Amino acid sequence: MISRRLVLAAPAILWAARARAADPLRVGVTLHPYHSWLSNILGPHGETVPLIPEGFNPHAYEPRAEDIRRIDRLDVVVLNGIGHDDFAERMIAASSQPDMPVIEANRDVPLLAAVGGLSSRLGNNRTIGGKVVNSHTFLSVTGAIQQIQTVTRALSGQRPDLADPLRDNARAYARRLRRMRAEAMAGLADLPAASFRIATIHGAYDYLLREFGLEVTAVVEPAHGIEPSPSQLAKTIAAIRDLDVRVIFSELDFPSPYVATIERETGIRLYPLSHIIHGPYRPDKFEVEMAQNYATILRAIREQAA
Amino acid sequence: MTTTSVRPASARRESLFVGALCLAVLAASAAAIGLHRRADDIRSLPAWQIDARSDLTPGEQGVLADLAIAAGEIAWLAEAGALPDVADLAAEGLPPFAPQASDGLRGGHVWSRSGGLYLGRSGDPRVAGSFLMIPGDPPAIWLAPGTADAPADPSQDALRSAGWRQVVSRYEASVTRHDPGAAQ
Repeated sequence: MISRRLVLAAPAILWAARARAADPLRVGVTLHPYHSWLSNILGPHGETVPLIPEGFNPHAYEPRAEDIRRIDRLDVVVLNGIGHDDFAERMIAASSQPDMPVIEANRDVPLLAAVGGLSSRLGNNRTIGGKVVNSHTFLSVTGAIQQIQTVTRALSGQRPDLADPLRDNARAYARRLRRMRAEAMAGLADLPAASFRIATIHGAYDYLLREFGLEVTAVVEPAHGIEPSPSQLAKTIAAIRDLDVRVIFSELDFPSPYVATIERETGIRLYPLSHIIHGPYRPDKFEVEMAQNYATILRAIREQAA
Repeated sequence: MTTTSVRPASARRESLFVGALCLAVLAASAAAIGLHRRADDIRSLPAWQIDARSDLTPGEQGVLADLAIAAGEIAWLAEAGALPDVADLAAEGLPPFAPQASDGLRGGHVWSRSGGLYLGRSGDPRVAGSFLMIPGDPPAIWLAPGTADAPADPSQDALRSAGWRQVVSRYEASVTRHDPGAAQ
C-alpha cells in the first residue's frame, strides 16, 4: 500500500517553520474550479495562484520554466491528484521547493470508475475497470463541496490562526453551491424520470450527470483528451446508432470538427457543457459555469421528455 | 566398401538451435519479469466492507457522495454544540437530509437520528439499500440491503453480524501521479 505525502505529515513542520502566523496563505492550484474554490475559502486571508497561465489546455499542458518559477513563492499546492494535473508533480520537483506541501483534494471523494470509450466496445480491449477512475470530480457540486471541506480542514490544520474564518468562508460557499444545485434540481420536479441513453464527447461529466440520476452510456474520445482517428470515428458513429444514444453532451470551449461530423451523420442533438478549464481565472467562474451546465442538462431532459 | 553419411540438405539442426535459443530467451524474460513484479497497490477488502466505486448501485453512489459531505458539515456543526437533528440538517439544505427532486431515483430514503447515528431507511430496496452514518473523524458509513432498522448496538461487531457492510473509498487505488515519497 502506498503511503502518501500529506500536509498533515512531515512537510507540515517545514511549512510551519516557514510560515509566519500573520502572513497571508499563498496557495497554488492547477485548474480553474480549484482557483474559484480557494479564492472563496481564503477570502482576504490568502492568495490563489494558478500554476497554468490562461489559455493553456491542461489536457495537453507541458510545464514551462516561467510557470515553474511561480511555485517558488507558494506555501502549499492543492492538487486534483487523480489524473487531471499529473504535470504538477514534475513542476514541483523542478522548482526550488521540491518538498512543497501538497493537499490531495480528492482524498475523501467517493470516486467513480472511468466509463469506457466507444472504441472499447469495438474490440480494442482497452481496460477501463479497476484502477482507472474518472478524474473530473470538480465538475459537480457534490464533488466540489467534498473537496472544499478537505482543503479547508488541511489549511486550518496548518494555520490554526485562520481556522475560524476559513471554515466560515467554506461553509458559506458550500451553502451557496448547494442552493444553486437545489434550484436546478427543482426544475426536474415536473418532468418524468429521464431514462434515455447518453454519450459524451469527453469523459468529464459522469459526476455531474449522476447528480441528476443520469448515467453515461459511452464516451466518444478513445482516451482522456485524445481525439478519435478517422477509422475510430466511423466506428463510433455506427456504435452511437447501435446503442440508441439519444443525447450527446459535447465540449463548449474546445469544439472539434469531428464533433460536427458525428452530429451530421447521426442526427443526434448535441448539448455543449463547460469543462471549466478555459478562460480567465475568476472567483465566481465555478458558480457561473456550473449554473450554465445545470441549465443545459435540464434543457436536454426537457426536450427528450417532450 | 566405404560408407559416407550425407546429411539431407536442410537447415533442421539450425532451426532446432534457433528454436532452443528462442525458448531460452523467453524463459529468461519470464523469470526476469516474475522476479521484478510489483505488488498490487490495491488491497483486497474483507467481506464486511464494500467498495464505494465498484460495489454500489448508481443510486447508492449518489447518496454516499451526499452523506460524505454531510458528515463534514455535521462535524463543523457539532463543534458548536450537540449533534444536529435531521430537521436541522434539512433546514441547512443539506442533502440527503433535505428533500431533493432526485430522491426517488436514489431509493427514496427516510432519514432519522437515533442517538449518535443517522439512519436512512430505503424506500425502494431495488434502487438502493439502507444507510447508516456514524459521525466522527473519519465518519463511518454502513450499508445494508433492504429496509433495515436502526441497530441497538452500533459497535462494529454488532453491525457486521446484523448484515451491515462498511462502505470504503480506496484513494490509494486512484492516484495517477508518481509520488516520490511513496513507499515502493
